Order: sequence, then structure tokens, then C-alpha cells
Amino acid sequence: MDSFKEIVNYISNPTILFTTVVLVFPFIFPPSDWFEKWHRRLGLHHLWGTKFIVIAMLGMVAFFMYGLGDYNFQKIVLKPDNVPISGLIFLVAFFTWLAMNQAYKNDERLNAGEKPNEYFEAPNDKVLVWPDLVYVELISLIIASAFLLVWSIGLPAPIEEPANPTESPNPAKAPWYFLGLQEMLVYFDPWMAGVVIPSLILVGLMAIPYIDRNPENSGFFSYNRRRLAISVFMFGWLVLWLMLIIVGTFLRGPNWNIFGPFEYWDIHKLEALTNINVSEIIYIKWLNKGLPDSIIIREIWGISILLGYFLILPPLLAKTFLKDMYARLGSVRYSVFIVLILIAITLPIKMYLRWMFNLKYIIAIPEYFFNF
Amino acid sequence: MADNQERHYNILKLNRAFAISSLVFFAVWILVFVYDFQRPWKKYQIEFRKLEIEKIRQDLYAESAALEKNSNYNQLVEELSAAEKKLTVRQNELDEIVQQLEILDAELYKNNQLYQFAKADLDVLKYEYEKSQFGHGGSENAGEEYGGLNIHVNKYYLDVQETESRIETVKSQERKIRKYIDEAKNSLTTLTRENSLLKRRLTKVDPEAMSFANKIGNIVRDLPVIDFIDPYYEVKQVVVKGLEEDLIYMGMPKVDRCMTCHVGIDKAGFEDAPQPYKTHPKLDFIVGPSSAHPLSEFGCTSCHAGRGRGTRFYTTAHSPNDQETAHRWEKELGWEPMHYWENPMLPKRYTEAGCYKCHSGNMPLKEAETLSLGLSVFEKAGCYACHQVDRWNDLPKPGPSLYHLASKTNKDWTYKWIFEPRSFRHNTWMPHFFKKGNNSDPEDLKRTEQEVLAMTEYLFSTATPYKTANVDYAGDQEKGRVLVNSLGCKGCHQIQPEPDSEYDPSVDAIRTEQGPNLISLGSKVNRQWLLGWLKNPYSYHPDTKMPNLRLSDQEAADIAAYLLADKNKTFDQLAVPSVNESIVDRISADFLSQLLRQDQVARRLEDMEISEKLNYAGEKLIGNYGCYSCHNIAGFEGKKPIGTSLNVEGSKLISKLDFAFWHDEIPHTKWDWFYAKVDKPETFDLIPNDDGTYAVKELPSLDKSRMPHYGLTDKEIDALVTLIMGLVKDEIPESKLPEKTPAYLAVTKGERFIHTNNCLGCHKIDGEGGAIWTATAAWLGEVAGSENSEDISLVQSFSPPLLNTEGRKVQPDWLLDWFQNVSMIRPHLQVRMPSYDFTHQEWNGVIDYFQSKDGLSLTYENPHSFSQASNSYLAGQKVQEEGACINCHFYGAMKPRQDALTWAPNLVLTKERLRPDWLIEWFNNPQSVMPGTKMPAPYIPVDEPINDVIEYWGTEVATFVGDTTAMLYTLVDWMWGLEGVEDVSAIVKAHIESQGYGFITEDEDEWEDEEW
Repeated sequence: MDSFKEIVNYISNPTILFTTVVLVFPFIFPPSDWFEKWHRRLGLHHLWGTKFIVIAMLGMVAFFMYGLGDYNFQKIVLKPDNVPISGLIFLVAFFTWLAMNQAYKNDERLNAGEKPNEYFEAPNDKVLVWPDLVYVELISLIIASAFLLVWSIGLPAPIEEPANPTESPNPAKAPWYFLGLQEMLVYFDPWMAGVVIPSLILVGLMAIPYIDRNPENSGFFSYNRRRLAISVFMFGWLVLWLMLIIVGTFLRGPNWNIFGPFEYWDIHKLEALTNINVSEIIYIKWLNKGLPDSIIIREIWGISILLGYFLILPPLLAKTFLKDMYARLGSVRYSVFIVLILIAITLPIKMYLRWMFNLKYIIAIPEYFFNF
Repeated sequence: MADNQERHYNILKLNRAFAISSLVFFAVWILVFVYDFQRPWKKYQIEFRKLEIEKIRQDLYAESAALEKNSNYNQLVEELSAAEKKLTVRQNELDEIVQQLEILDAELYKNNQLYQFAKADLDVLKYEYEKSQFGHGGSENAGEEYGGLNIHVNKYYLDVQETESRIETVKSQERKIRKYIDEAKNSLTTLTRENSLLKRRLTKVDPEAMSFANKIGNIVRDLPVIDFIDPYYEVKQVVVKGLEEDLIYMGMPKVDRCMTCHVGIDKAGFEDAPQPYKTHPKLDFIVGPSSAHPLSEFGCTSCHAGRGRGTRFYTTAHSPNDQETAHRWEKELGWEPMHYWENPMLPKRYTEAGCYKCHSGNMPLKEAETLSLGLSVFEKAGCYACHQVDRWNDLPKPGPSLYHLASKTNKDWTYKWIFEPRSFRHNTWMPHFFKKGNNSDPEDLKRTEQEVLAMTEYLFSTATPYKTANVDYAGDQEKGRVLVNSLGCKGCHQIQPEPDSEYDPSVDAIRTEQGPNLISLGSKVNRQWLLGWLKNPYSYHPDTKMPNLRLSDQEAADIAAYLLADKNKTFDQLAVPSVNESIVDRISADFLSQLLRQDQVARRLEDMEISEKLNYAGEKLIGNYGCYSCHNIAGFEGKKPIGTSLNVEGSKLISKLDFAFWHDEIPHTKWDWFYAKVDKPETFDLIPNDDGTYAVKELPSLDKSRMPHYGLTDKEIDALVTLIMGLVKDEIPESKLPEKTPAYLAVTKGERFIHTNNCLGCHKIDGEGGAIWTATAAWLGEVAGSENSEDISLVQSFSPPLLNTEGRKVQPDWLLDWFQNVSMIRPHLQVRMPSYDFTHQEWNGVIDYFQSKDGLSLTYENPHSFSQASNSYLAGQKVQEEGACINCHFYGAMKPRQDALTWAPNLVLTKERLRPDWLIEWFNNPQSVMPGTKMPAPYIPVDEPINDVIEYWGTEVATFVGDTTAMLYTLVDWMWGLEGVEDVSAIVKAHIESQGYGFITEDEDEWEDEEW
């Protein structure tokens, strides 16, 4: 059984975990016909069947029960602050399944020329606020209140030690909902990860209704007709947001090092973290000379890369892979959309650049507090 | 729009769901109340109440039983019933009195009212009248009216007084009738006071003893929700004024709620109750209301630490004393270490750490044996030399000076000693730097051997010569042995060839280790050095604690002969390795490369001779290991010590202590870390394996833990940990500290001085000290037989004197003079008061200590005046004659009549030396001043018939009959008039040499019996 723990610890390493998830993701949420074909061929559509959720839930419960026998696992999972995140894993898995299950059923009905499951003929397509909405809400409120009371009694939150400016907790963790952002701090300059990207996330969320103005299929779950939109959103939501929260909660230990769920949080664990910038790679490694004094000349390569990424890539894509989309959205909406997506994609790109080349920043101008 | 009847959900089902969820919510709501009501401390209070009821009932039962057996009580009860019977006969009279009183009371009321009304009117008229007098209008006949009314008022007033006196008469009649019964009742009340007190206490706690109304109240007051008004079961707390919990950004008043569960902590009588109900074990000293540290003022966590505001076992941060307790707590109480409180409760074995934060000035601390031992070990082991602690800032270095090492011993011995000191002297305080867990693999050993060679080389090449007086007497070993045993060497030194397997460390035991264990000196020092050292230790090392014993050349030679005869053959045969240049290069390179690049290092080494390299490496290593912290070494003057300061070590955050790989093996507490660090300082350089062995971390030689091994016992380590845990940064307000009077400061300073200089190795003060007594007994055994050595009073008389009441006893100017020029006082003593080179300020500190301790202050006193023609002087002469002081005391050159065994100070010295007031105290009761003294209280005829006194003692003595003090002062007067030789040492020496002490041994007794 110890080897099982070791395997789990091993695959918890973000390089493996993240790579696996990124590779598998499009086969689970296929964004295009090709992936759809393999999705069916690999039988991944069974994921959304009733049988699977039962097995998955039982499997997850079994894993947690098994894990609780381990001191280190128990310590991190049963920490009162972390219990909601354990709950989050189950809830997100269940509701993702529920939505997809209904979406697939509707897809089948639509393909067979039927109306979706949620469709009601007028006048039954509307419900009464009382009792159909408010009554149900009231009952939910009561049940939720009772649950919260029981929870707060059963698992009292600990009062931690007095705050001490000379003694920061190690690891010092943000509130759980910010752990995704904190995870980004590993790969980005604090200014980017802490201010620019969170703002763009909000802007992006606000922009969604203006970018995707397709009224088709609203009011019921469906996957097939909005594959790309759902797949992209799910990637951002499940992988770039929730997974980073889960990693931040359970796997980040002292000195922000990665620890497997069965690993002792040894404060002495070390990781080699000598990172370099693009300018250093080009001038020193490749050209064998010192860094130029002029900031512009020094950073011209990084700036070019970024300009290319944000200015040349979008038109290229508009001409090739995203031709249809460009046509559908028009230039303004396409530009906004593609820039947001490209920024989102910089996170996985920077992760890999870090893991593979020890890359710190593409543009590094610490003189003016601008690093990217 | 949907039909009203048609709903999306089935309304019946929704109603049901609503009903069920509401019921669930209601149940949860009840649960909240139950949870809030069921506090864990309540069950302890309920349990304790039962114990308390049981206890009071038992006490009451015992008290009642005792009463019943008390004849006095029974008699009083009988008297009372007899009196009551008598009373029934006169019941009619009493009834009548009651009736009369009723009528009189009514009359008094009526009269009083008339008087009050009339008086009010009178006051008004008085004002009117006065106004009219000044022509401001008003009634013309006001004067008349006023005068008329005044007469009335006076009459009413008299009526009132008359009624009052009648009431008084009637009442006194009643009292007369009731007199006996009241008296009996009063005496009974005094006799049964304890009983009724118990009864009253019982009615407060025991429902069975309560009235019906109280029984109901007893239940209602603790009902849920209304139990906030005045519950019986409640959280009890003490707010400790002036003390705060340090919450970094703010201080929070210290609030201790410990007594919420430890309900019996301040109540005597629960000493044997189970926890948490036990009475505090030192109630008279700590928690008790009349003790020095009452609970209401000091709380609990001020000393014990822990989280005083907690009311659960876990949240109060209890700490188990051992692993067994920890497991039991885990199982029974759901305990786990509380990580979020930096000051968890001190486990029982370290509790005394709490004493130190307020009593850091004393030595030893009363009632704190472990902490006192910790202070003693810390000072003796010289911890303060590397680890700065303010208390010891002014002390000289604990080890001997190495400035003139080459004159004292040789290189081989020095090498072997540094490498492994305990192979030479099993109980030395010099610690082991080598052959530790982190430097013992073969490579390390090779390196450390060369390190020690280099250090030895440095010490010898920098040593300067020590000029010794050239003494060329041949010594006599046997005489030397007797001298060592009798002069007092053993107040500070032991001669203990083998380790004592039953060694039990204590403050007293460490006193005999003030100086080194004097074994195998023949293998260590050269004779010339030893002679010089013995004659005058200060000439070799000005800071030494070894005093000058004023040895004659012959005595020094004898002692040297004795000490040098002992050699350690095994140690002598140990091999000293030869210098290995490549290793020395490597050591030097390690230091050089801290400053230079690799190529520069190589060049530097090329330019150096081997001796230069050794010297260079030696100097650097001495700096690295911190040898200079304990020893004076040339080239290291004024260097800072190498250890971390321990001033607030007990307050260090646990996260600052690196447990390295020992997270499973060493419990995660500060004290366990300190224990491991002191016990085996290199622990955290090691990596433990599951099978109990360990590996060593990958560390460059210079990064290894350098703290050495002291070979301490568990008890000593626990004591040190207690001290370290007491070194905290807590701010204690003056109001909580012992009052810093000049006397207090003088006493604490003196206590420390006396401890540091080991005065109690020889002397006893108030029962403390006297480590030398065992050595005295051994010497007595040798010169006078075992029956004498077992006679504790004889041992006492041959040991250095007790210093009880020293401040009251001696004249301070004499004492100062004597300290600086020691001369003979007690002629029979072999043991010698040494000469110390203390400054006169230091001596003044000692005198101040003696005086302050005895409630005096350093003052000039008028000399005692007397006249040789006075009655008092002449009477004194008679009293000393009859008392035969000459039996034991010298009168100047006049020898005592008895054998040297019982000799006592020359009385000629007294007028210079002692204070008359003290002499009176002393004469009154020598045993209470100096328990065990052989001085008897002088017989004085103070209570005898005056004629007998005139007849047998003379008229002068008779003058003082009836006045003990005056009678004793006659002796003082006589002594002040006594003239003669002060220094009798030559007489004493000649006598003891020719006639000996005259010890009485059993053999002689038997022989004398036969002769008789």
C-alpha cells in the first residue's frame, strides 16, 4: 500500500498532474469534431452516464477513507479550513456530471428531432413565484441553515496563534478562493498575478455575453451545439481555477513547495529554483556576451516575442484555424475574445517554460517594475 | 399563465418537505442549546460539589462527635436546660414584662411624636423671633410665643426621656430573669462556632441541608437560558492585574480560568482527591490567600504558563510530564498538543521555571530545588561563558587561565586532555568537543586529532613563563595527606578516583566540585608550578576562585608531594599522533578560503612552515570552538563569546528551533528540544534511523555543531532545561516582584556572591551548606577513631563555624579588617579560613549581606562603655569565675583548663569582635542561635533568693537579681575589661604538637574503667 501512496505522491507533482489534465481534457470536453470522434471511440462519453457517477463517487469516497488512515493526509484534509475544499471536489464533480448528463440526453433528443427535456408547451412554460420558486427556496434555506449549524458545532474552527509580524506562518496561504491566484504568483510577477490578471478575469467574465451573442440553445443543457464555448470555459474553470485552488490547498506545503497528499511536510525540503530571463538566455547562453546596458536592447527579444504573440498570432489564427469564428464574431469581438484567451493561455505556457527552461520572465524590466 | 391549481411541484410534497426540514431545524436549534449548556467543566464542578459535600459532612460529623465527647459542652447543655426549666417557673413575670413593654413602646412613640411636632413649630418661631429682633418686620409678640412654646417642648422632651428610662428598667428586669440562660447560650455558641460554620457551609452546597425554598432555587438557578443570572455552576476566573498576554500588537490582561475545573485548588482538605480537584501541594507558599503568592493576585498561568482563558482540557494547553501521561490523556481526554499557543503549560518537571521570572536574583531559590540546581549547574559548567545571560555578566571566565600553560604541564598531556578530558578525570566539568556523534567517523577522527595538535601547539607557543618561588623542601606525602584532609581543601575539592555510581546531583554536591577532583596530578602538573600555585594561586591566575591558604613552604611541599604521588598510568600510556601535514593543510585551507580564493590559499600555504600552519590552524580552531570563552588565551582578549544569547531563550518561538530530521523521535516542544540539545548537542546534525542508529548529515567540518558534551545526569539536564525555560521576556510589573528594598538587594547580591565563591562549601548558614562536614568526619575518624567521627556535634565543632546571625554578631569594621588579615579565632580548628583577594567593596557587600539578612544596616555604633569600678564589671568577674569560661576559652595567653578538644575563642578578642547586643542573645540561648554548638548558656543566679545570692555570689551580683539582661551584661562588661595577648596561635601550635587534642576514644574509656 505504501507504493500506492508513493504513486499518488508522484503524480501529484504539478508537472505530471497538469500535463496529464491538459492532455486528457479535450478528449473529455471535445471542442471539435476530431476530438469528438476520439471521445466516442475511447468511450469517454460513458463518463456522463449514471453508472459512472456512482462508481466515481464511491471511488473518491474510498480514496478519502483510505487516505484518512494516513497521518499526513488526515492532517491536511481534516484541517477545518480545508474541509470545504474536500467538499468542493465532490460537489464540483457531481454537478459537472449532472449538467453534462442532462446535456447529453438533450443532445440525443435534439438529434432525434425531439424537444429538450426542459421544454414545456405554453402556458406551462412558466412557473409561479409562489409557491414554485419561493417555497422551494425557503425549504433550501432551512436545510442549509440546519446543515451549517451542525457543521459549525461538529467541526469548530480553531483560533490560531496571535498574528506576529516577525513570524509569518509557513506556508502562508491566501483564503481558499484566492489560492488559484496565489498559485499564479509562482509563475508571474506579483503585479501581473495579483492585479492585472485578476482584473482581466473580471473583465473577461463581463465580456462573455457581448462576445457570445448566440441565443441558440439557451434555457436547457446541451453540449453538442456549443462545444467550443463550453470546452474553453470548462478549461478555464476546472483546470485554471479549481485545480489550482485544490493544488494550493492540499499540495502546497512549507516554503510553498509541492508535497504529495501522503507526504510529511518537511520544512527542510528544498527545490532547485535558479531561474533566468529570456534576455539572459539569448545574450549570455547563446551569444556568449554580457547583457547590454540599454534596457530596450536588452529586452527587445522578449518584447518581440510578446508583440508577436499578441499582435501577429490573432490575425494568423483568424486566417487559419479560427476562420469561421472570425467571420461569425467580426473583427472587434474577435479581437477582444482572442486577446483574453491568449492571456489565459499564458499561464500554462509560462508553467511549461518554467519547468522546461527555468524561465523566469519573458520581459524583465525590474527597473520599472515591469516583468512578464 | 398557469392555472392556479396547476403547479410545477406537488404542493403536498413541498409541505411535507417544509414540515420535515422545519423539524430538523428545530432539532438542530435544540442541539445548539444543549451544546452550549453542556460545557465540559460543568461535570467537574458537579463532581467536586459532591466531594465537597462529602467532606463537609465528614468534618461536621467529626466535629459533632468531638463536641459530644467534650465534657464542657455536655455540662453547658445541661446548664442551659436547667436554666430553661427555671425560666418556665417565672414565665408569668416574663409575660407581664412583655405586656408592659408593649404599652411603654406605644407611650414612647406618642411622646416622641408630640416632641417632634412641637420642636418643628419651635424652630419656625425661633426664626420669626430673631427676624423681629433686627427690625425686619414679623410678629410683635413673637418673643412671647417663642418663650411659651419652649417650655412645652422642654416638657415633652422630659416625657420622652422618662418613658425611655422606664423601658430600660423593665428590660433590665427581663435580662435579670434571663441572665443564666443567656450566659449558657453564649458559652455554647463559642464552643459550637466551628460546628455552626460547617453547618452554614453545608446549607450552601448540600441540597439535603437546604430549606425547601432554597432547594427549588438550587435547581432553578442552573436551568438553561436563565443560568446567566446567578448560577451555582459557572466559569470562575481571576484577572491578574498588571500581567498581560503578549499578543504582539497588543497586550491582553491575563485572565486565568483554571479554577473552573481545578475547583479545589485553593481549598485545604482535598490533598488526596483525584485531579482536577486536588488542593495545591504548597498551599501555604503559593495559592493560599495568606501565602506570599495568593491566587487572586498571581493567578495560575503566571507561573505555570498555558492558556488561562481556556476552559477545556485541550484549549488550556496542558503539557504531559511524560509519554505515558501523554498517551493516557490522548485516550481519556482527547488531548493533543496545542500548536497555536506559544506558551503551553510547563510540564510538572519544569514547573519551577516559572519562579525565575520574578526571583532571578536569588541563589538558591527557596522551595525551588530543581531551578536552584539548574542555576548551580549553569554557573559551574560555565554555560554563561559561551551563552550570554545578564545575571552572570560580571563573572570571570569559568576555566583556568592558559596564559602560562607551558609552565604548568606538557604538550602530550594537553593534547590527550583536550581530545578526551574524561579519560583523565572522570567527573571533570571540561566538556568533550571530540568523539561526538557528528565527528567520530574515521576521517573525522583523523582530522580532529590534527586539530587538537594544532590547538596545543598554539597554546604552548603563545604561553609566557610563570615565575615561581623556588621552594626546595622535600615534601612528606603522609603529612600532605593529613593537611589536605584537615586544612579545608575538601570544601571545594574532592579526591575521588572512581566515578560514584550513586552520585545524586544537588546544589550541595556541586559545592564540593568547586575546584577539580584532585586525582592523577602526578600525570599532569610539574612540581614547581604546583608549589607556586599552592603558595599563591593569584600569582598564576588573578581571577581564580582558589584562595590563598597561607601555607608555609613546608606545608606546600608536603601537599605537593601527596598530590603528585597519584598518577594515571592508563592515561600516560595513551599515544599522541604525529603531525600530518596534508590534514593540517586542509584545516588551514578551510579557514583561509573564508577570505581568499583557492589559488591565493594554495600560495599562502606554500609560503608557510609546518609550525606556522599549526599555529595558524590552532588559533583559528580555538576561535571556532570558542575555547577562549572559558579560558584566558593569548590573542583572544575581549572577543565575544560564540554561543547564542540565552537571555530570553525560554520565550523563543518554537519555529525558531530546528528539529531537523527528529520530528518523530523528539516531541515537538521547546523543553524537549532544549533537553536534546543539552544532553547530546550534536543531535540535530544527525539523521535518526528506525532501528535507533543514526547517520550524520552532509556537513563541512566547520559547519558542524560545536557545542560540547558535558556528561550531565538526567537530573542536571532537567534542571538546566528548567532554568532555560525560565529565561523569558515577560514583563513583570514592580507590584508583583519582591520589593526592591536596599536590604533585599543586598541579600540577593550577597547570596549570589556567596554561592559563586562557594562560602557554603565550608560554612553553614541557617542550615544551608557545610559540604565539608563529610570530609571533617573522615579526618576525625582518622585521628580520633570512628566513634568520634560519628559524633555530629564533634564534627560540627571541627568544621568551619556556622554563620547564623553573623550580621548581628560581629562588629562590621572588625569583620572587614579580619577578612583582609585573617587571624586565628578558634584555637582548636585545623581548617583554615583562606585569604581572598576580594576588593574591599566586595567584602563590604558580604558584610552588607550579613547585616541586611539580620535586619541591621551598616552603621557606626557607639563603643560599649563600662567601668572597671562598676558593680557590673565586678559581678561579671564573679559570674565568669563561677561559669568557668576558662575551661574552654583563652583569656589572653592563659590556656583553657580543658583539653584542646573543647577549646574556644580567646575572650580578649571579644571586645574588638562581637556586638554586645548579640552576646546577650547568645548567652540567653546558644542552641537557638547556633544549633549544635558546644557553648553552654552561662549559669546566672537570676531567680534565686537574694540572700542566697549575696551569700554565694557576693553583693555585686545580687544587685542584678531579677534582671536577666543586666546580669548577662555583667559578663559583657567583664570581657570588655579583659586585657591580654590577642594572638595565641603559637601557644596553640605548641600545645597541640606536644599534647594533641585529647580525644576520648572508646579504648581509653574501657581502660579507665578498669583502672577505676
